[in-house]
Amino acid sequence: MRDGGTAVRRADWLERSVAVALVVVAASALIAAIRLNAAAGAGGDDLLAGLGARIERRVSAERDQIRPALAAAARGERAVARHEAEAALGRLESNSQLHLFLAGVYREGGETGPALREYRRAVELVRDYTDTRSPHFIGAGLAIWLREVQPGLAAAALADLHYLKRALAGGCS
Amino acid sequence: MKVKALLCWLDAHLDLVSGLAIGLAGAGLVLLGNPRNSGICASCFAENVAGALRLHGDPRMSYLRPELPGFLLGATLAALAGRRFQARSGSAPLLRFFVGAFLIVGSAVFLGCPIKVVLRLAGGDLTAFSGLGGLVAGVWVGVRFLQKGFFLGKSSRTGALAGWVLPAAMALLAAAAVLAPPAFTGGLVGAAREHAPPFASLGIGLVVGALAQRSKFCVSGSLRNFMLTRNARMLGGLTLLFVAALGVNLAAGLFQPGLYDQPGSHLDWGWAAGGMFLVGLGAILIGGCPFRQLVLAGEGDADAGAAVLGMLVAGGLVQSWGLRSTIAGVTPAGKLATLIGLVLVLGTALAYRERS
Repeated sequence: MRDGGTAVRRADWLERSVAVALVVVAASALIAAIRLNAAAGAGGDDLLAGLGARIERRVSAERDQIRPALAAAARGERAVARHEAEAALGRLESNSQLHLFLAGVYREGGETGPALREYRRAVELVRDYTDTRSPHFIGAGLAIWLREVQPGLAAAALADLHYLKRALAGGCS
Repeated sequence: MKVKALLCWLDAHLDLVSGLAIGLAGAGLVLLGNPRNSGICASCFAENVAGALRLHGDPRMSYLRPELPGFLLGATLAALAGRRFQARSGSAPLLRFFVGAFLIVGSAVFLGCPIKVVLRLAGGDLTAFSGLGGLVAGVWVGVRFLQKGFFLGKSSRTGALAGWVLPAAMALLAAAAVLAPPAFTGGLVGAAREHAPPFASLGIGLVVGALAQRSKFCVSGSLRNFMLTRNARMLGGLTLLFVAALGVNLAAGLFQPGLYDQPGSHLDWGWAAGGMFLVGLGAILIGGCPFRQLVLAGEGDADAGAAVLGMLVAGGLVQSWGLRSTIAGVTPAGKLATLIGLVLVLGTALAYRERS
């Protein structure tokens, strides 16, 4: 009876020792991982700057690709700018700046449906456009315009309008 | 004497206190910085934590949210204080792992766990009614299986180590969540950037987890108990959760009723209901929704621990394999995963019915 009790106590002691050892090993691994991250210079600011720089590079490269349209718009040649942008759409489908540019062109021309479609495409490509804390946030002016959009849109345009409103509302998704 | 009477009353009505606390915490965490309508969401938190652990690569959904380990550790502390911590295991842990994983898939398709269904409704998100309908239907079907003798097997006491694995791991995660640099914890861009101060999140998580352990509060569990007993009192905690969150949202100007412009929502209502049906049914089969699994794992239930691990793995997979919804709607992979989940969970329910 006494031997049995001793064996149980020994097993309990062994189990607790293994648990403590596991916690110590896991804690050491965690501390090592944190230190390695810090030593590699991957601090939050650096990482954030890296992510920001990546988007900045993308936006900059995209603007380079649509330079003819931007130049025409700067000269005030709206029809030429629109033609250039629409011609580029086929080969630059994933160029978010092109979609933003076209959205602006359509919006100025009162073409609500196409403007909504292009805004949505741009936001789908770069979610930072609706991130209030991103330097590329376009939402302030867009939200006001969306509120002013008149009812009576076609179904596809209405879906784009609702998508953009949800994107601007934030939330976890 | 009055204090003693009050304490007795509180002890007898812990489910109401828990519902109230979760409602206040869910809406309050939004005021402190969490994403709108997502103050508390076990599935969103699982996806965020999975991202921080590099189980997926989307920085917008990567943040070591302190609430998640807080829930589990709060339950551990409450269980220890009440001498209710007991390592137990042996009730189909592998099945629970997979059902736990599909709870997250269903939640990712709806965009939120059962608690978030209520929080979304309290924020004025009328699209969440589809999720509520799916959840109630899933729980109802689960209850029918329970009445027909569904049983996953009895768990039994086991070595203490099995019960301590997850609380120990979560203690490390909690420490990392409040002490490690952002390079480790994430939370830099997008929804992950929206978060309450880490110590506040951890503190609230601990309190909510402790209360949920004492009261056994669970959204799908409340619905199940109501369906089994037909006693409206069983819905008291759930009702208070909604009322508390609604009150805070109204006071803070965050109640904005609508269908089309709600944060973290989509308009695929049928699939949203399907996702929540999967969650409701799965939750009844394994004894609770994702939040309840965390609390059970905190009490030493290694089977619930397996479900929690399944939830974390799925938190990574729903992002990296696209088994989810976005604000544009449900992805094709999300639809397929929901259907597969429904087949597997219903198959499990059929296979584990007790036959005479």
